[in-house]
Amino acid sequence: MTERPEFSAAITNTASIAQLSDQDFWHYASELAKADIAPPVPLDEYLVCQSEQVRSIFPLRCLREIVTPPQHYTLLPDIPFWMNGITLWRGEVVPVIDLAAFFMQHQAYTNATSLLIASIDDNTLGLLTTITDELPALSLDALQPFNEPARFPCPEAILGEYEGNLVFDMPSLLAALVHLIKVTSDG
Amino acid sequence: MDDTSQFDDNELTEDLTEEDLKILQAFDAKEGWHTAPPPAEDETTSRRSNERVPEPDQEYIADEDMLLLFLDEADEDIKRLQQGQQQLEKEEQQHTLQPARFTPLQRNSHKLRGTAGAIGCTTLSTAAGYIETIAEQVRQGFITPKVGLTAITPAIFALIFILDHLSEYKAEPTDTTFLSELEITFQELGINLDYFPTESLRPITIPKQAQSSLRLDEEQEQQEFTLSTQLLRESNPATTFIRVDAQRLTSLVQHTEHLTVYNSAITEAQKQVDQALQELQVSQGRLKQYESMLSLLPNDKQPSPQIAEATGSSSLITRILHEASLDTTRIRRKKTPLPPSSMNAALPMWDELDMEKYTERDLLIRSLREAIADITISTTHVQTAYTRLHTLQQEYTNRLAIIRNDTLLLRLTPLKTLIPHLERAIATNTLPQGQNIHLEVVGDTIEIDRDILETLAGPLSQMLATCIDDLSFVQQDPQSAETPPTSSPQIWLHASSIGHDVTLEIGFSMTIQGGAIANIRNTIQDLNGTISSQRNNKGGISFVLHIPRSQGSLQGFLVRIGQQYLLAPISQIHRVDDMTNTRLDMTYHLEDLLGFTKDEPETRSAKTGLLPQLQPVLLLQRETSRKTIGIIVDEVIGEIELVVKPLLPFLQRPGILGSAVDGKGRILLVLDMYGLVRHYAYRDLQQENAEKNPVPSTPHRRQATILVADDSVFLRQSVLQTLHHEKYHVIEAKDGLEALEQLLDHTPDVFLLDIEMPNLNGYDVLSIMQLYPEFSHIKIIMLTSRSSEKHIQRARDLGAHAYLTKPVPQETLLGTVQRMLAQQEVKKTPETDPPE
Repeated sequence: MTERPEFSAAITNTASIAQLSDQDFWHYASELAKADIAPPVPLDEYLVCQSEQVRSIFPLRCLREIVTPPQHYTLLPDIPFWMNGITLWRGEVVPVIDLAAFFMQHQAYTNATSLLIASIDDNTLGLLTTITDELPALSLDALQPFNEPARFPCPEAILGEYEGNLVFDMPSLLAALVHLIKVTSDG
Repeated sequence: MDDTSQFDDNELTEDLTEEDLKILQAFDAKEGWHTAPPPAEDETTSRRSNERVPEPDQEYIADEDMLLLFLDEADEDIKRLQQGQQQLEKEEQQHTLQPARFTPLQRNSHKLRGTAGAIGCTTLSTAAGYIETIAEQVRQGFITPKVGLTAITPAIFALIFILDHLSEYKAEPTDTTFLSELEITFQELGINLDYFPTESLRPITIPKQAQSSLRLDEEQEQQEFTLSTQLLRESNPATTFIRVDAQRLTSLVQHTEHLTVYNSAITEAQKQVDQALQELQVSQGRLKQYESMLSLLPNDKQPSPQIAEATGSSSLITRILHEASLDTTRIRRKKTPLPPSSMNAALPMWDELDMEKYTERDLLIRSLREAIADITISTTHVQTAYTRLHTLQQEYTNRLAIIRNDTLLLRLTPLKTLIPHLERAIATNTLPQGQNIHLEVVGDTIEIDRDILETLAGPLSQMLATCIDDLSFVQQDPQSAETPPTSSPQIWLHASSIGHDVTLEIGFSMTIQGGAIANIRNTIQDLNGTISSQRNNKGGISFVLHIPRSQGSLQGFLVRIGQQYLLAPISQIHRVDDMTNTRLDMTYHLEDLLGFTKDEPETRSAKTGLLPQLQPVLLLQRETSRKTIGIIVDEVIGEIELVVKPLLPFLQRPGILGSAVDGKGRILLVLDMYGLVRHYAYRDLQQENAEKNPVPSTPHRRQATILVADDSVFLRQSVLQTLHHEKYHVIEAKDGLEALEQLLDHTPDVFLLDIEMPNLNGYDVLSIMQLYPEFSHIKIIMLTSRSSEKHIQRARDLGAHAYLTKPVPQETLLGTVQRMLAQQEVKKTPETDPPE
C-alpha cells in the first residue's frame, strides 16, 4: 500500500490532475515515485502446524517463504539429531530442522509436507513441519499458560497454549535453535 | 641415572653447543640435585591462592653451580640490553628512533625477568620488569621513545649493580632504595608503571610511511610491467584504476563479441522451441477434441465392414487410391510428412471413394490417428529444436568460461609488485647500522590475483618486520648464530607455482625473533592457504606459504561418500591412488572423519561394491607432515572448479572451509583435509588406531617422553633436572624451530612450551602443530612468565592443554605433567581440557 505524500499547495488545490500543467504533473509524478512505500500491513494470520504429536502455531509474518521440503540434504559434521542437514534456498545455505524431532527430543520419521523459511538476524533456518490449518487472528489474551515446560527443549520460546496448540515466539525459537546448533559443534 | 637416560643424554649432547655442554657438565657434577626453583615474589606473576608457595630457597641460591649458570646467562642478557640501549641512543641522536626499535629491549628484559624470578632474585626481576614495561609502553605509543630511553638507561645501571652484587656476595643487595629512586624517576618522566601492557604480544606495528603504501601502487614499476596488470593511483584517492595487459584486454573483447553471435542464435533457437511447442499444443488440442467427440458417439463396437475388409485384402485400385490419399495428405501438410511406416499404420486401407461406406466413427478414428501422428511429428520438432538450443547454450557456457578466464587473467599481477613493500619493511624497521641485509628474490614474475597480493602485502611486511626486529641482538648470540660471523644476514623470497597454487618461501639465514606467524596466520587461512616452517640450508628458518593463484574459485576433486558429494582442494592432495600401491602411515575413511556413519569396514565394502584395498585414496601433501596420510572415499568423480563461500558462523565446523554449489544445485562441503584429520580423527578413530598402533602414551608401561622448549638455558636445565629425577625421558629445544624438529623426530607425550622464544615463539609452534595430525595426542603445557587471561585464552585456542606461570613450584609442574599423562590414557579430547 502506498501512502500518498504531501504535495505543494499548487497541486493540492488543483481539482483534477488533468488541469495540471506539464511541469506540475511531472513534479507530482516524481514526488509520487519518490514517496516511501509504506510497510505492508502486518498480517495477523497464523499457521497451525503438526509435528508428530505436537501442534504448534507460528505467526505468518515471521516467515519468509513456505516451500516444499527438498528430497536431499547435505550433511554437516557435528549437528544435532533434529537437524536433517543443509539445503539451498534462494542461493543461501539453510539448515533444515525437523521440528517433530526437536519437540519430541527423539528421532522422528514424520512425513513433513512443508518447509517454513524463517530468519533471525542474518541467520536463516528451514523448519520442517506439516501445515494443517490457518488462523486469521490470535489474541495474546486468549493464550493459556503452558504447564509442561519441562517437556520442551526451549520452553522460553513458548508464549502459551491456545486450544491445545503451542504458540511460539519465533525469534526466541530461532535463537535457541541457532545456539543449539552451534554448541553441538563446540562439543 | 639409569642406562636408558644415560644413553639418551649422550645422544643429545651431539647437538649441543660448547656452552650447553659446560652447563651439562656442571649439572652432572651435582649428585642428587632435584630442588625446584623457588617462586619469586614478583607481583606481576599470578599464582593460585591454594597452591603451596615455598619460601625462597636460600640453599638453592647459594648453590654455586646454579648461581654461576644463572649469572652467566643474566650477564649476557644485560649486555644485550646495554648494546640495545646504546644503539637506540645513536638512533635518537640521528632522530631516527622508532617505537618498534624497543622490541629487543622488551624481549630481553622479559627473559631476564623470568629467569631472575625463577631463581628467586626478586630485585633483579623487578628491575628487569621495569624495562619490559617501559619498552612495551613505548611500543604501544603511551610514552615517547625519547622518554622511554631516558627511563631505561638508569634501570639498566640498576641491573648491572644488582648483578655485580650477586657475583660478589652471592646474594642480592638488601638495601633496595635504588628501586624506589628509580620509580620516582619514572614518575617524574610521566611513566605509570601500574599500567602493564607487556601481557600483550601484539604484532609489530609497521611505521606509517610503510603503511601508507601497503596497496600495490605501481608508480615505481610502471615501466617494468607493461605486459601485466597493476594498479594505478589517481590523484583522487577514492578512484582506483587498474592497468591491464593490452593483449589480454583485446582477447577479452574478442571473446565477448563472440557472445553476441551466440545471443542471436540462442534467441532464434528459443523461438523454434516455442514454435514447436505451440505446434505440439495444437496437435494435443486436436487430439483431445477428437477424443471427446469419439466418446460422445453411440457405443458401436464393430468397425465398419469396409475397414475390416480392407484390412485383409488389397487391390490395384485400392493401392492407387491409397497413394492418391497419401499425396493429398502430403500436399495438405507439406511441413509434416508422416513416415511411411507410421502412415501405413494410421491408414492401412483407407479408400476415400468409399466414403459413404464409412461411419462417422471411422472418420473420427482416422482423424484421431492423424492427430496422433501429428503429435509424434511435433514432438520430434520439439526435441530437435531443444537439442539445438541446448547445444547453443552449452557452447555459450563454454564461451562464458573463456571470458571468465580472461577476466581472471586481467586481475593477475606479477609478484614483483610486492617486493618494494617487503624491502621497505626490512629497511624501515630493522636494518641495523653497518649491516647490509639483502632481499634475494626468485620467481617474481609469477602472477597472482591482485586482491590476494594486496591482502598479503600488509601481513607479509609485518611478518618480515617482526622476524628481524631484534636482529642486532640475535646476531650476537653466540649460541644461535650458525652462519659464519663474517657473512651478512640474508633474506630471500623464492616463488614457484604449480597449476592453481603458488608457493612462497621466505627464508632467513640467521636466527630471527619469534612471533612471525601470528601476523599472517589468519590471512593465509582466509585465503585457503597454509603456512609451515622448516630449517633451511643456511641454518636459518624458512616459512613456506601455499596460496591460491586466484581468489573466489577453488579447484578440487569432487568426491562421493554414500550419497554425499564433497570437494577436496587439489592443493592439499598429493595424488589419488588405491591402497594396493602405496604404503600409508595413517589411513582414515572420510565418512569417519566427518562422523557421518559408523559402518564397519565390511559393510562399507559391500556398499561401495569395491574391495577395501581398491577404494580410491586421497594422499595428502607431505610438505607439512612427514607421515603418508591417506583419506579413503567411495568415489573420485573428477576435477571441478567452483566458487567457495563461507558457511554461516553457527554452521562452521572444524575441517570445513566453506560450501560450494555445483551445476546440479547440490551443496558441496569444501574440506580442509588437515583440519578434518586433526579434529575428528582422534575423536572417532582413537580406539581403532590404538589397537593397530599401541604406541600412544601408556605411562605405566613405558617411560614417557617430555619435550622442554625454552630459550633460557637456566630454566631449561632446571626443568630438565626435575623431570630427569622423576625418570622421564626428557628432550629439549632452545627455540621454536628446534622444538618443531624435536617434535617430528621424537613425538613426545608431553610438551612443555615457553612463549617468548627466537625463530618461532610458543604461539607459532602451536599454530604449526595444527598442521600435523600426528601431534594431536601430545599434551601441551605452556610454561611461561606471561600470566594474563588473554594469553591463557590464546594458548588454549591454539591447542594448549595446561598453562603454568613461571616460576612454577616443582610439585605443581610434576603434578601437571602426571595429570596430562593420565588424561592421555583416558583419551580425553584436547578441546575439553580446561587450562590450569
